[in-house]
Amino acid sequence: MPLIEIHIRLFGILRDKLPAEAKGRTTLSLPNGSTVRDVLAHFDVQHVVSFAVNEEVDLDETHTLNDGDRVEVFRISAGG
Amino acid sequence: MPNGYNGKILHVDLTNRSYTIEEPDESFYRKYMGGSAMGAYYLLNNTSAGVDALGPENVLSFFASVITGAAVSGQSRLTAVAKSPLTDCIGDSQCGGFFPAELKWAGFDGIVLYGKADSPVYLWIKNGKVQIRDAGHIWGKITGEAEQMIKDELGDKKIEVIQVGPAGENAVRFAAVISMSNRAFGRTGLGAVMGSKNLKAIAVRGTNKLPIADKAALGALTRWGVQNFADSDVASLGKYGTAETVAPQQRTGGLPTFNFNSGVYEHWEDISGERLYDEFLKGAELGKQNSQGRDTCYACTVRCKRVVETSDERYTIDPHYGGPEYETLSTFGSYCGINDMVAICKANEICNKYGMDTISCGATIAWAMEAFSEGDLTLEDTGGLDLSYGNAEVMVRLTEMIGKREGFGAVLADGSARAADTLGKGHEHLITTKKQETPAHMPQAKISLGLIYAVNPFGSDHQSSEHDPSYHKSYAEKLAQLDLHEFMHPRVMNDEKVKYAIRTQWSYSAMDSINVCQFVFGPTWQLYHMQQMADIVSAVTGWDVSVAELQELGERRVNLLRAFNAREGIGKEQDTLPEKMFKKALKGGKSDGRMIDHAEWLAHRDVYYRMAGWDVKTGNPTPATLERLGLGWVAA
Repeated sequence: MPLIEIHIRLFGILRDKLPAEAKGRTTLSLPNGSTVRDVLAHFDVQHVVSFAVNEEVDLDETHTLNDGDRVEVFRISAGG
Repeated sequence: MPNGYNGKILHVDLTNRSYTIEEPDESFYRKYMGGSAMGAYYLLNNTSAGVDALGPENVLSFFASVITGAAVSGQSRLTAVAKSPLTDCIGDSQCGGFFPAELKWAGFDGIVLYGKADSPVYLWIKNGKVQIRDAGHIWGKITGEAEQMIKDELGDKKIEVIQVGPAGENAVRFAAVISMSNRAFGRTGLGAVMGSKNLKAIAVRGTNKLPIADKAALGALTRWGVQNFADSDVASLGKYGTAETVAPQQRTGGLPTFNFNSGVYEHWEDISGERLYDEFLKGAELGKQNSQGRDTCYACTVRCKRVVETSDERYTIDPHYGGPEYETLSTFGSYCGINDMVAICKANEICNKYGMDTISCGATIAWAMEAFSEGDLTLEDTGGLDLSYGNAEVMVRLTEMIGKREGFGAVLADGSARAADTLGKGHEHLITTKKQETPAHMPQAKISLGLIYAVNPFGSDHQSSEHDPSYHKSYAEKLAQLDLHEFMHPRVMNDEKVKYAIRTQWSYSAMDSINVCQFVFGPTWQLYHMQQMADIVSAVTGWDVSVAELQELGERRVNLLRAFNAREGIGKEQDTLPEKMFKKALKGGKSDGRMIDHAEWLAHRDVYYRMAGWDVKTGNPTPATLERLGLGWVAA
């Protein structure tokens, strides 16, 4: 199955999913047809999060990713 | 002796340097529970309409609650209440730390301050004993120095202190009351009220922990919090602080930029919580910031407070004064078009040294920057200060000038709304509601939060309801406790969203009466949900408290605060958002073109009034609503 490359950026404590020196950035090779949900599953994200694909936030977790997409994952914007 | 609280309230007459101790009965504590609700009760009962906020007739109170001091995360908070010199409405502000628990152990649930001392004094409370001591030698000192002098003078380094800095002494209208030199009762200018009374500080020391009704139940809830913290949504906030909010705000087009003219900031990564953690927290150079760069409140597992230690060729940042919250990074940062992290940390340090609200201070400077960039303010107005967006050096200098009320800083020390009046220009650039500068969550991105900004009794506040993104299916079980089931997009506004706003407003209002941290307790993402909050109050006091009772407590508090405003002639006319949010579309990125439809917004405000049981014509609580909440005495 052909693979697509997805550029990942994790914010806040989600950065702990990667080595400290990565500072939340990595690139994943995923099967063609992968979705945002697959990315969240890859990192075993248990927290309630928001995400952006190429800076677009109004998307569902079932959104299908394309080669070269940039996925960012962060906490839901609340008080503070 | 009651469980959880002392049953004693200290009343101090500063004019006559005397005090009395009141011992209200249990029904009073059950009805108001503490915090803001109790403060509003004493303010309403001891002042007359039109009271001068900076005069001796104003009454300033500090209240803990029936659970403050119990060993559970998020409980060590205190509320200050008085008439606000910034808004002319009721003033209300909370602060955490160790002082609140210490006050309870020292024998009092709250302090009510009357009159004005004829020379500077500070209050010293130790295990039920009270002294009013001379503070002439401390007056004028910055907070860190004053705190140390008080501890040295009293010979006990475990003493906890709340105090005003020079800004409070100088009647800066957004002066804060500072605790531990690194955290603040920031909003509504109550530091100026304390300074106007010639009260420099309150020092407490207590060793008498209070009985807990059901130690086993409280212990189980405390352990549950500690055990579940790492997997909770709060864990990230603990490690990266509120500063982690920069990234999601940017991505959703909700990061206030250039004085609320845009919701995206090109240099947002320079002011992000992640960068603050990686490069500026104490210990960062050695990778030890997780242990050295985080501070906490009594018994709290979250440890969200920032401790910054850094320097460059211009500034050295003293870690004693903490570090910036998200709000501070935004107001001194993106609001002003400034991406200079060290300068922002310096402005934060100055605010904590002088005792100023970082939101109003940074936002007031941002207002002046917009007025300057639009040509409404000139170098002649500013005393030669180049207030171009992005000028970090001038921003830092002006922050200190405000604290000292020097030069153009004296004009801005009255807040942006009064500064516009004084200068006779720049009103169209204001981002104030009820004369208070808007915090760093944009109504254009969080529409129901904007409604609460407008109707909130003490001006716009980001901690008075749950934010729109949290009306989300992920929190279905918790939101069901408030009968909220119809999840929706953050920018959708309808009657159901108004219901979400008002019900979570009552939850937050209850939290400001029980005085718990709104990062630890709350209706959605927080560590403990509303039922657990009720269970903790029950375990500490022995009462059988339900979520419904907490919601009614919250509603009672909101109505008390609104009743004060009604007495002052402040109602519907002041329940609005800054004009430019209705008239001027945002520019840039995700925020581009966003503007609030005024007619629709007004209709939703009327829906809110009806749900609140308030008069739609005046915005004031009706006598029937006050009576239903046990506040008939207010209407009488």
